[in-house]
Amino acid sequence: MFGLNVFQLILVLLFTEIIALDSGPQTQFIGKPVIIGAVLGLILGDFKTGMFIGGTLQLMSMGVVGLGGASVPNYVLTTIITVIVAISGGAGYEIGLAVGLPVGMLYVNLDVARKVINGRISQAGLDKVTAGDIEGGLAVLKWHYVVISACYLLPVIIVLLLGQPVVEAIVSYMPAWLFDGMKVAGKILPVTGMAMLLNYMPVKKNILYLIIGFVMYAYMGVPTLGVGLIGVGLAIKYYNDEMKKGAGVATTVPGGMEDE
Amino acid sequence: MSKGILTKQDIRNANLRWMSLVMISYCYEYQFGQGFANALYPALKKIHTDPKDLQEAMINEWQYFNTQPYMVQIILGVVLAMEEELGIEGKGVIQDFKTGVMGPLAGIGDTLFWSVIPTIWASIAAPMAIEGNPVGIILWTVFQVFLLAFRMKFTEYGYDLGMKLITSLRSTLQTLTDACSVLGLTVVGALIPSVVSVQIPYVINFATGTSMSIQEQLDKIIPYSIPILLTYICYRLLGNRKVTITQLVFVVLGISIVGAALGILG
Repeated sequence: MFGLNVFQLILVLLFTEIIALDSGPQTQFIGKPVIIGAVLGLILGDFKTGMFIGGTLQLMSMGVVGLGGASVPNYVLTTIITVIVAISGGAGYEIGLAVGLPVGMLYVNLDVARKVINGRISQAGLDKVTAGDIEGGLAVLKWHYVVISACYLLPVIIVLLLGQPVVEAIVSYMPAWLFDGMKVAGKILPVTGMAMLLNYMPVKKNILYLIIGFVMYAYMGVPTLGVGLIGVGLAIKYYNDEMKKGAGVATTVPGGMEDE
Repeated sequence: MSKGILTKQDIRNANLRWMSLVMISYCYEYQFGQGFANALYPALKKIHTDPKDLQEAMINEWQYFNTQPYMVQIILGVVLAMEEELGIEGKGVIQDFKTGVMGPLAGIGDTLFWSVIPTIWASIAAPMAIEGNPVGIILWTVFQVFLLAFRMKFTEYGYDLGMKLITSLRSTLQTLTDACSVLGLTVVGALIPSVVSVQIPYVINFATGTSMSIQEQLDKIIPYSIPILLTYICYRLLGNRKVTITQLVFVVLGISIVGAALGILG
């Protein structure tokens, strides 16, 4: 199985389960592609490749958040599968991406199914509560754990089981143009994340700040962390200015919240 | 303000119960309703000694509710204070309150926790990781641990401040959200040229023996023009809601393959 030893196999599946419980596509705690890539790289014995893949997919996934319950591509699952195929399959980053990306994209359908099933679970629970059995109704909710685990573990297990011959076939039949295409796609795809992110932000109202950030990086060569610090300063100034404007209307802020 | 029925432990317990089910229980009909009711159950059991009241309260809390999940943690506390103070008569007020705060809290929560903070950390950690440096990843993980610890207290804040928190913050909420997006936009401005590394390797060879690199010419006009152009096109496509992110990814894959084959993109 992809040259994984039993120990690695258990760790990979265990880690996948942790990530499943940690989140849906909206990650709660550590389910970030760059963190996952590093951890899986460590497990599979190629830390650098794991980090590289995680970092690249992190950039692609930026702004891709299923706000208000929308189903979006699962870059977390893409990261897990890309790293496994790239490192343990010995296939490298481009082919890993060729297997991992479609899985993450197909997850959108799985995610819709998951939320429909969740609705049935919730309804069954509420029916029990309405019938007077509150504890029984809450016990039904345990099925949510089974559903989310299946959504993450099954794709990974399927790739692990069927993957080796499939990946080998891809490696031997993948033409050079597809190989080069995946390489270019890796460079362009972060655009989709940026575009998604910008659609959630008041770009038209505050385009000035977008330009400031761009000019600082592109013309002045300030690293992103430095731009971020300027951004913090601008945000504080914006907040203070706006608060002064509306000082007559605004009520006092409770002390504890001020430093947020 | 409280009647002293609930202890700190009860409130923390509600928070933990929420965090353990949260996103994975999301459904279209009730959104986070079942997760909300499940979180409050042990506390509600203490408040409502009459089983009929308890059942009624549970059904009430099970109804449609959706806002940013971290913000829910604060609402849990506020609702507990209301349940304790008002009893089962507060049923309607609680439902109205929950419906009222959904929108404003989703606004600030989504901006801060789903956009600005992950964008900033990703812009630090991802480029470092690509170069083989794990420091950014470690820092982000440490930050996540601190954020988690901070979130552990969210429900207590909500409970202590009760209604006061939301009403007094309401006027400043919009300004705070806007200030966050100022920071976010500044970072994104720098991020677009730093993470989109595609170029045009195409070189025109003239019959006279001289050649011209398209990329060099473009850079003379404005640096990183290709990333800006591509971002703008994708931004417009997504903005019209005619194209989903999944479709867009496949379109980009197609363009990349064709572009690479023709030697235009690299």
